Amino acid sequence: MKGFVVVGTVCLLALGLLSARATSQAPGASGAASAKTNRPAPRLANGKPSMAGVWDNTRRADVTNPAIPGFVKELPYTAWGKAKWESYDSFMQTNGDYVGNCLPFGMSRSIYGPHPLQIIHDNDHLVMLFEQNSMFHIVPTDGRPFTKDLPPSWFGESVGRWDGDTLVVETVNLNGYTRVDTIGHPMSARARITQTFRRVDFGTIEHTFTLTDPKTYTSPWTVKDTWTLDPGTKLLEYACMENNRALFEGRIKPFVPPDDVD
Amino acid sequence: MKRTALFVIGVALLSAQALSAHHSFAAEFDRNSPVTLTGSVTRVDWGNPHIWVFLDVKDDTGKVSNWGVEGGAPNALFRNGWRKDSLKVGDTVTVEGFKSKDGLPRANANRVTLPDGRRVFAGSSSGDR
Repeated sequence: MKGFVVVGTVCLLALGLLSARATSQAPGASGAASAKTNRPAPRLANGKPSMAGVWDNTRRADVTNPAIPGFVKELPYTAWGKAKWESYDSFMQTNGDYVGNCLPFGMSRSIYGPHPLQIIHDNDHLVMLFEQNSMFHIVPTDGRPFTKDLPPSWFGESVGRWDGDTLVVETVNLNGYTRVDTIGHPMSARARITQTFRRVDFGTIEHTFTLTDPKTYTSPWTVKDTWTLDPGTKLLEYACMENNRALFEGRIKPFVPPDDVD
Repeated sequence: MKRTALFVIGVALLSAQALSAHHSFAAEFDRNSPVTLTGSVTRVDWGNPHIWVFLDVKDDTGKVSNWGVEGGAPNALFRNGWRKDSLKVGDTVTVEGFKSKDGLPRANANRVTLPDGRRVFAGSSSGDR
């Protein structure tokens, strides 16, 4: 037993702290469902590749962690961005931790968190279901524009378009309260997120996340991931506030939004 | 199943160390205040974002305090083979973890061990809540 833990630990080191999610023991898991994942990507009625499935997304608590492939070598901070990064600990002491308040994690922390995500896809929509806080995010792909004068929000508003067989998702109208990752790299309300999804075969999506945020970074930067289909995992309810003793008992303060992110 | 769970505990423990900059952890608990608690389980709150296990702990003078210790996320624990009743009221456990910063009898559980050496739950604060 002990030896197995040691072996497991060594394996983890070799993997560079990739996703810690175990996948194989959930009830209903089917070995057959995961077989032959190298066959061609499934197609939507319109002939485009479907991104549908439960995906074993990459756990990425720090986008600059070189142990995790696809990382960003160096974040090109503006002066404002650098100050935001360096003051994150003191900001949380005074303004509270938004995730500790069970507020939405936003796109990148939902994508790169420890909990699974599912994509539902048809001709006109791609829907991301995040187990983290039982959140959803709908991406219209029917050619509609962004909604005029929509108030900003945690996940912002997204639209999708096809570039050949790659789905390109643009997201704007962010409230600027979310951080890029667990460790707290900053972003502002001026950020634009560009994601690409390319289903290279039945079992694999190549995903990119690009942040363009001139208030925080002097140039756009991109994180690249490979997601593996995870048919044995079923998303479960995540009612974040039901047992949030950290907030109930005052160890985490009620969140006060920053007032300088526009 | 058990081997997988043990592997996962190894993973979770290492992750907790590697992600020492986890901000929810740092806001609540003090990595410089390790604590080892042995006591009888009085309640298990199986809920999000983390499970909590409560236990009566007797100090050197015989005084009993009820400690609450934060564990992992319930869905992740479930997928790793643990169940809501894997730990029962009355079980004696030893918890190794870190005290909370607020002075209450609270801790973040790094390891929960039964008298026969088997480990239960754990995996706390190893990532986003």
